[in-house]
Amino acid sequence: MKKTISRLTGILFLFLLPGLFIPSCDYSYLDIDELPDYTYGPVIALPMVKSSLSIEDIVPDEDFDLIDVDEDNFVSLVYRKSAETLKGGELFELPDQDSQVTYEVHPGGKSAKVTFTETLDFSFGAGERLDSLSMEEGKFLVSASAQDLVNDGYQLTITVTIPQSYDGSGNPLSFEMDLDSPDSSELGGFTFEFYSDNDQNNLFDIQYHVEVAGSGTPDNAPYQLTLNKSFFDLEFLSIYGDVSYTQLALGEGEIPISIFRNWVDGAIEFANPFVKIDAYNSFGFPVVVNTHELYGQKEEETMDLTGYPNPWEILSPGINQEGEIAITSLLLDGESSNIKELVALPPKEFIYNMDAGLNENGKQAGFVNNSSQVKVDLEVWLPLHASVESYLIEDTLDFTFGDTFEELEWIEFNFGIVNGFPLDAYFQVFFLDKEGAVLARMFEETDEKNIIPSAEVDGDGLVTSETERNTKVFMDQDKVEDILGSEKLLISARLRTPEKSEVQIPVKIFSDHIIDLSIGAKAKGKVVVDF
Amino acid sequence: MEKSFKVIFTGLFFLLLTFSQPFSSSAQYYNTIFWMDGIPQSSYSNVAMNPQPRLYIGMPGISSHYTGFAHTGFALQDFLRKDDMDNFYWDEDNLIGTLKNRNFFTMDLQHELLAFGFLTGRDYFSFNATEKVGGRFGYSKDFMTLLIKGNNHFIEEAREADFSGIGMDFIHYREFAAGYSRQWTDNFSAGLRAKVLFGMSNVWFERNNFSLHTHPDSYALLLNADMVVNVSSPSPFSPLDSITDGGDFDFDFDEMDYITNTQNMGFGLDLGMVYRPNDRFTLALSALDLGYIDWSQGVENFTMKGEFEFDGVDLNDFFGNDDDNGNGFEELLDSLKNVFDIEETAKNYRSFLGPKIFLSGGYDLSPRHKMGLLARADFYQGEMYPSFTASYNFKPVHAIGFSLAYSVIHWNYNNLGAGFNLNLGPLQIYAVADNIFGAMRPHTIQTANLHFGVNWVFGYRPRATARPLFSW
Repeated sequence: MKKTISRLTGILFLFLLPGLFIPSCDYSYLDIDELPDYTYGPVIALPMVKSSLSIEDIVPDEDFDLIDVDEDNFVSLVYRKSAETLKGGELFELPDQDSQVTYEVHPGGKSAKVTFTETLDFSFGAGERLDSLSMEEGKFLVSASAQDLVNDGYQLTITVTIPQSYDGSGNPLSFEMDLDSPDSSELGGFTFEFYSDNDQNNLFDIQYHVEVAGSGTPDNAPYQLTLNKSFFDLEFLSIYGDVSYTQLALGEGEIPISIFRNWVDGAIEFANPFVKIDAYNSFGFPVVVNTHELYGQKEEETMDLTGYPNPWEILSPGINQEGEIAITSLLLDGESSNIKELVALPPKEFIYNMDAGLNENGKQAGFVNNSSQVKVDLEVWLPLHASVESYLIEDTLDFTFGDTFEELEWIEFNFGIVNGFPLDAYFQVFFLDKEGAVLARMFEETDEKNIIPSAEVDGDGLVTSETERNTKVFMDQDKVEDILGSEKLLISARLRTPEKSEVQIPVKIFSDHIIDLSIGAKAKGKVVVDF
Repeated sequence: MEKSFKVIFTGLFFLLLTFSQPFSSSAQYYNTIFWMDGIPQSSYSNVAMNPQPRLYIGMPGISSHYTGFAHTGFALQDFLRKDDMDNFYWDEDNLIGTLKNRNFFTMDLQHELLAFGFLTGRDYFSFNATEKVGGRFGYSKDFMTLLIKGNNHFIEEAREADFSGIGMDFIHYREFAAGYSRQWTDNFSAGLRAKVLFGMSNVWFERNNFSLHTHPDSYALLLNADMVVNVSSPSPFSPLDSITDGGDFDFDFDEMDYITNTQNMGFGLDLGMVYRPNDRFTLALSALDLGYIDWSQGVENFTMKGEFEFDGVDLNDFFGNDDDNGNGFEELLDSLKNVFDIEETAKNYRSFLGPKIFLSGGYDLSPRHKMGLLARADFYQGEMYPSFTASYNFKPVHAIGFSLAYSVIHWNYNNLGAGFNLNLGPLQIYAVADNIFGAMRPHTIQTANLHFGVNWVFGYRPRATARPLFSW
């Protein structure tokens, strides 16, 4: 019985089994055409930017050298430019000097010695009177000819000496030469002194000590001895004397004031701006600086800077102070000039045009070195103690989403700010295409959003505590599609200092002020897989 | 008998504890074949369950080939669903709800090179040489949630994402096994299979604890990592620089050196016992793959431990310079790549095989009909993954065997297994699959495998029998 039951059970199971399979087949899940599209849309949150910025981090790299921090960490921006003249060696050139002289020689049929002295006038185009000339380099060439003497059997030796010269050891310039064999001497290291006689200046002597040897036959004296002299390749170390008036070009140019580079609108009032002008003079003569132009410019609007002497006589080293530099300084601040009003323009650059006059009055002894020069340093100081009222700046940056995102359903930016600077900043960001057309803007509900609130300040404009703020900006799909094609960002920032009784408080910026900035983005991707 | 059973059971339990270490994977499913004693390879699940043939020789190279995959996480039907109107829709929430805290996807390949076995008296001896390859990719529920929903999901839930368990294990080794079992009493048999193992290559995530926290305001990312990955490879990986620099990954590989490598040695043990309280009932208990391999050739270890924080790039870097046209997002991604600090060493290591436990009971309806119940446990990353099989086994004649089985594997209820063996004289062909259901309803598949081969079998008919050649 048991066997029968078990066999029947097995038979029944085997017959029913196929019946379970056939209706269970289901391949509908593999029918691609029936499948709905799958939209993959994760929401990803990523941090984008984390920066802790001081004033040194905010200032562009090219302007980094502008920052001056004093012992109290107070920050000033200093815009500098230098103007300088040519050096003395470039201004005054010594011309080549050539001359010829002929003497008669009477040897009398035996050896003889005779000395001739020639007085020359040193030609110096720019100078009225030379007292001395120290040479850096140059050559003095002498050639002698007396053919008849040689034909008659004489030999000549000539010693050439410039008695009013001396080298470092005190020895005059002197050299020996033969007939028809030109000789020269290097002038470098020698100083030549000149003298005047009646109305003639710049005089110096050359002595020729002639020794005749031999007993000429016949004796056809007097013989003609011709001496050709040449001073050339002359470069001086220093000139003492009285040079005539010389105009020295300092040049013209501009000093860009980069803090105002992106200014669009609004006012910024600096408490204590000033201009410092330092003149450096190493000419041993009176120098006067002439300022033809010195003004600030904002597009078409200009304002001259006032308060400086013009012409401005600057200090010079004394006759015994060769090699030294005399410094004359000028400070033009709010009390002595209109610098405050000028800076309030605000100027995008300062324009200058200057020159200098050397020995304007003439008739005064002095010196010129080959390195003598006049240099003028212009510094525009903007100590960051100011009140800012609705100061609008704009800048355009290259920025693209690239290939990182193809499709986004929405994106939300989160700006986290901890601000230690005493400045409110209101922002608007425009997304531009490559032609500069606006595709979208970040804040729709307002023209500008105060995402950076000012730190708390006291009545003196000093920071007492930081301020924190989180700002979220949501962009829907339409807006996201617009900004994904952007290639530039136009960032518009309006700055203002805190108010007290509706008046902006002047604040001070210190190097230890920090703004902590974090930007995060949360985005919902959208990738549609079509079936 | 009961005392022996208890002693052996206790010893088995102790061994399991010893070898229940984190391991690198191999997870063949021998569920349907378990009670098909006409197939010699059925004894691989329990060395004490002697196969029917008194002598068998596996056809060299084709005696046993097993290919299978399994996924504990989800089936297609958990993601692509039908509404009341029979229209399809994608259901991400259901997919995530289906997942366990830790899930894995495995692929296994076993190819037997040589096998034979024979019965003498009360003792059964067997031998096999098998090439085994297994891969496993583990992931956590939070990992899939991150992929599908993004990290904002965890911000909204105000918790960190737990990625512990994520990792990929791979192993290729060659096994030489010698089995012995004995009929100790009329009711009780027990045996063991000792294995010598030669590792070919291995990737093992020895430790893989990760968590990711996203700050709710700044979205700063904080990754806590405690990861150790061990690799034994025929060619140095050195992938880190190529991954971070985007360069080419150089893989220098000699096939002969790889195939003949014997430097990575290990040992394994299978234990089994069978108890028959009467003629109809059979109880069996076994533990497989209690073993390890010591890896010493081409070893590299990668360690990442600590906290890694990314809170954004510097403002100037984000808005860029003329060279990169201000592509801040590319700058962002480049910075993310450079955050992770991975230490590389070359220390030998030991990996353990994945132990498995089989507990089963069989009931002979008749000499030709057997019902079987099997409970199996796999262990991975500190969690147990059970499966259960109910099978019906029928041998109309001794030369033919059929099996039909229903399995619950990793809590997937859609597994219908089937198998057969056919002896044409001494030549036997067989094929077994734990889930043929997937062929009919592919959207339900989480497990699929196929085991087939050719053997020479002798002495599979009873010595003295009065039964007809064929009967129900």
